Amino acid sequence: MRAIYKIIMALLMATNVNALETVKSAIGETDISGHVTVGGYFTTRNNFEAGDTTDGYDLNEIGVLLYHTFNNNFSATLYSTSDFFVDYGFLQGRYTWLDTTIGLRVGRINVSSGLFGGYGPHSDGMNFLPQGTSPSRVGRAFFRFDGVQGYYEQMFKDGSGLILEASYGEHVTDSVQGVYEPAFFAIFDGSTLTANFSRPAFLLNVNYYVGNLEFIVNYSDMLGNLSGHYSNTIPLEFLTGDPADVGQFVEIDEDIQSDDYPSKLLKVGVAYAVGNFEHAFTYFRWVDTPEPTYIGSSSLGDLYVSDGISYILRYAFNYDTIAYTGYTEYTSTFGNEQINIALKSAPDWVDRGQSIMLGVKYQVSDSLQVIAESHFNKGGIYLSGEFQDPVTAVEYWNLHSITASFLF
Amino acid sequence: MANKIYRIAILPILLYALASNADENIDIVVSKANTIDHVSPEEIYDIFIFQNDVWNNGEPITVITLPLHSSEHREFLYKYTGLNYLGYSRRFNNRINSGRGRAPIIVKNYDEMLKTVGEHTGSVGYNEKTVTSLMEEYGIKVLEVY
Repeated sequence: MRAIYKIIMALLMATNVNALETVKSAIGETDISGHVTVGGYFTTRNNFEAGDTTDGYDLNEIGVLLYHTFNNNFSATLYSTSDFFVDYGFLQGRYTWLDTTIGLRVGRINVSSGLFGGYGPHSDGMNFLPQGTSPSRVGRAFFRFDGVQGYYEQMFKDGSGLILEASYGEHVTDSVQGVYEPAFFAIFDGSTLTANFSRPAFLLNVNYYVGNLEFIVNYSDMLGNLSGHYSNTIPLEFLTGDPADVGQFVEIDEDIQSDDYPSKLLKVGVAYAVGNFEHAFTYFRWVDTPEPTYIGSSSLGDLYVSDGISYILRYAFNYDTIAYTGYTEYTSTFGNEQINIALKSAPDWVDRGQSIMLGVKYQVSDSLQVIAESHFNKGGIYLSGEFQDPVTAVEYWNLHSITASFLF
Repeated sequence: MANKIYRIAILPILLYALASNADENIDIVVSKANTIDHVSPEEIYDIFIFQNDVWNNGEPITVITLPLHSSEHREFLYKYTGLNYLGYSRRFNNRINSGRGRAPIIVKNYDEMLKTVGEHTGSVGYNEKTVTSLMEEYGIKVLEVY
């Protein structure tokens, strides 16, 4: 797949494509745009989200966005990358009357989250989105779903606008195991962890903008089926409740399944641009309320809450250079309440993370941009348990990255 | 109450945009074949933030701009929308890179701008200097803004 994309991009670049290309046909017009990004990152800890270990630590990607207009009311969109043939793609039908538009989208639909939309390094202006509110650990789960979406757009006379999107579908994840908090991997066999959907999720997106001020709300209500193999050594009195069993331990080795596992996600954000500055603040909350799973006389979790916040400040030095800095943090209640009672323990900081980021985006030419970025991190929650041992992983670590994107 | 506050906040920006337009003589240009003769500042705003992509006569709008990071485009945006570049880039990302709207055609300079506008019936672009003398050459016309 990557080789095919490289050939296509070489041909496009050979024709000196540096702007949107439009192809006309009997069934409408197709606009073609995209990016070719090369770059990489290195980290002071190993195996950071190495989705494909054979390629090392690269951020290389080729992405093509096709927007086809059938007529004023119908269009189709496809965004394809070298990693995902359909990153997102949907049919869109709409009806507009004066300043009001209603419409329907069907397919693999991206979540229009306004701030830190997650459409790729060529459009976000960052190499890595703030992990406190856009955790890449869970892959693409928050950004795309397969299903249907109804939307309503209203433009007001004062120049403000409101966008409502109500959706029904299944979230698309990069990695099933990535949805689990890292601490899970201390007491479960990571390779056995699975996550499916009992029913599609209900999603709601609200976007309101007025001048340089913008608000977003994303909400998702999911019901999943989770399972995994619990493998741990725990104190016997945890099972029996008998003080006489203190000091004795027992090995537990059993499959645990939780059907109809409720999970709700909420993201709220506000951004305000003034002068050469932009301030963006986002809050993220993830609440799971499963039925308690009992081991012996004690329950294994009935409420898991994760919270994250991000603040990003961007400054445009001039027309070519934008610098940004930010703070993000994320905490989870799961993990050590359950793990600390057992011999196999993970440190407290596995359940949380704090990060300061610094970056600069430089527009070398109309079609070429370079982004250099560093993250200084404390804690392990940003990293999937697939790629770290939560019991032995280090607390402080850094990540440095650089990319160059040719835009067409 | 919130709506009222926002209207009060936005109105000076739009008035400033109008005043700046009159002083700097930024022409909004369309193809000569377009039957539209005038446009309001609010319509320009909606077009260039990609919330409106159809003219009142039913013709699809094709937006022509200079490079998004260029000083000329940023100054045009500020005059007609009141948005600074960072706020606009968020709007662009949310609308265009998400595949929800049609991307603009980005040209290198004003000469290419006028040529491209003249070639597309529904297109709209802009020029910092008066283009009255160039209308015949490129097959364009200037929209009145009021």
